[in-house]
Amino acid sequence: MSRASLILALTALVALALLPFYAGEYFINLASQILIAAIFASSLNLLVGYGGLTSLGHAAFVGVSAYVFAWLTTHAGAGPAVAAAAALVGATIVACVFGLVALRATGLGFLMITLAFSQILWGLAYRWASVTNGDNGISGIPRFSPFGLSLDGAAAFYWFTLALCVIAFAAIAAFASSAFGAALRGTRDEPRRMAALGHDVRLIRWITFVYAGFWAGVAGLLYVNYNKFIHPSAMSITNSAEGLLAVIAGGSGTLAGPIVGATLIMLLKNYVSAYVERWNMLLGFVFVAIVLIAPDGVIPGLRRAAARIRGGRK
Amino acid sequence: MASDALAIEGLNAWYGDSHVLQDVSFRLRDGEILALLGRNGAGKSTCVMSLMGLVARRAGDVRLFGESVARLAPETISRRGIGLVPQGRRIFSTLTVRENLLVAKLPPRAGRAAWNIERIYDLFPRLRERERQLAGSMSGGEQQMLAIGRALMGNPRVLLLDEPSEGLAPLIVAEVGRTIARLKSEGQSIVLVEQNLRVALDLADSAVILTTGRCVYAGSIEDVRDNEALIAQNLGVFGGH
Repeated sequence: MSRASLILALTALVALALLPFYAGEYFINLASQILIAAIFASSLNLLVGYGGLTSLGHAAFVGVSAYVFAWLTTHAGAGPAVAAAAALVGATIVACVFGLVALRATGLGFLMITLAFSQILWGLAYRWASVTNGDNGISGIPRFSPFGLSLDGAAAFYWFTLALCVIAFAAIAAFASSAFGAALRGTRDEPRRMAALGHDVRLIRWITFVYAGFWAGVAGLLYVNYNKFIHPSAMSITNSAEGLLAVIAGGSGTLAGPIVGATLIMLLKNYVSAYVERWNMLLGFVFVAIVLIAPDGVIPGLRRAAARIRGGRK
Repeated sequence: MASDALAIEGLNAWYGDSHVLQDVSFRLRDGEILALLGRNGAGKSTCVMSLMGLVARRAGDVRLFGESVARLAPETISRRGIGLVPQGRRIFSTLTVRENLLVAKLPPRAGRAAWNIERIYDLFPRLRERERQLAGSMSGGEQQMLAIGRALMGNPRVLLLDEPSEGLAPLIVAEVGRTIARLKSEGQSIVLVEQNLRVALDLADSAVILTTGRCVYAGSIEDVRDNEALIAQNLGVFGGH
């Protein structure tokens, strides 16, 4: 990371940390939702951007994590801490199994298998009413209270989400820039070459798939705690596709890209939609604009623009 | 006599229905350089790709220091000790120079000095200067050095070099040639695929000539050098280099 982007990131972090002091509850809650979407998109970016594996079923891990937490706290009488741990373990195990099957293919095949898997889980959540309460969803889910701190207030929950978000980004950034991350990018660009260099390409992809699944599980945990409610739509294709759009719009394979993309989509979906009835159409226009102006995403586009300005000054 | 680093018996390979490699057999002695020669399309690259396990449909036996590797997957063959510098270099253009080397690192082998990034930089000082640069932004010659360095990071017992001088300026060709000579002096066994006959004649100890997928000559390099008929017939237009 260059010094300029480090300063930018720290400034943004300070501004975000102080947000509850200058913004109303509505915007604090909106910010929490954006952060959750950003974690989700960043985890998906590991597969799409760094691994070259476009998944259309990533919301499945959000759903598994959320449903495990919801069921354990409401039906099994488990404490939120235990339920949270179980939710992350659950999402990770499901990622382990899905990865084994889905990674037999790449490209379109991988996309279709991940889509099929998430649809199976969505169907399960919809039909297995004795556990999931079907289309009614599970409500009355308590928020967890880490170290005895209540997260029921908007600001408290926001700060907790922000802290987890920072940890998630740091962990994802460390993963992407590590030697393993370089190997992952190698399998994206030249899989055969990586095999010829002694790498088990599928193992690299599988580890990434599981890691991405884990962080999607973290996003799911925050999601269910924020809403105190879970519905099958959490793992619908719409949610998976929104994550994918966030990654592509912001710039896949960049660290900041999914954050920017997720922010854009959540703002359009939750804020602009209050003023514009056909916000979906607006979303479409925004994407057309991005594709025309910066086809590889907002962040790479901004970088190019910055380079051009700097070059122009010489 | 030195032992065989590589012994190839009746190697066959197919692309779809075309039988592109037909019963090729040769041996590479430990610490020597074998030049694999032939015209375009003669099967040289297919041969090294088959040795690496990268051609799906293949048959025959490949022994690496007596141990058969013919049926193994590419990653296992690489770990057993065959390293490939592919034609066209195929470096990871979106990774930095350092990352390109880092991802290729394999454990050292007993009895041989292990390669590490510092040693590669000593071999190619240019790569040290470009350490943090994206590999795709380098010149062809620098990319070739990186491709060689990347293969060496795996501490190969046998190094396969597929047309390392292809498309490079004469000055760079000479530098690559000196590097290959230096690797040989350190005991590295090498299979060298070359279109540039002079480079091959200068460096190699023995030669194999392929014509339309068949082995038409396997023997010492001196006999190739003196046999103008053999050169004219099988290497054709490249004999004049």
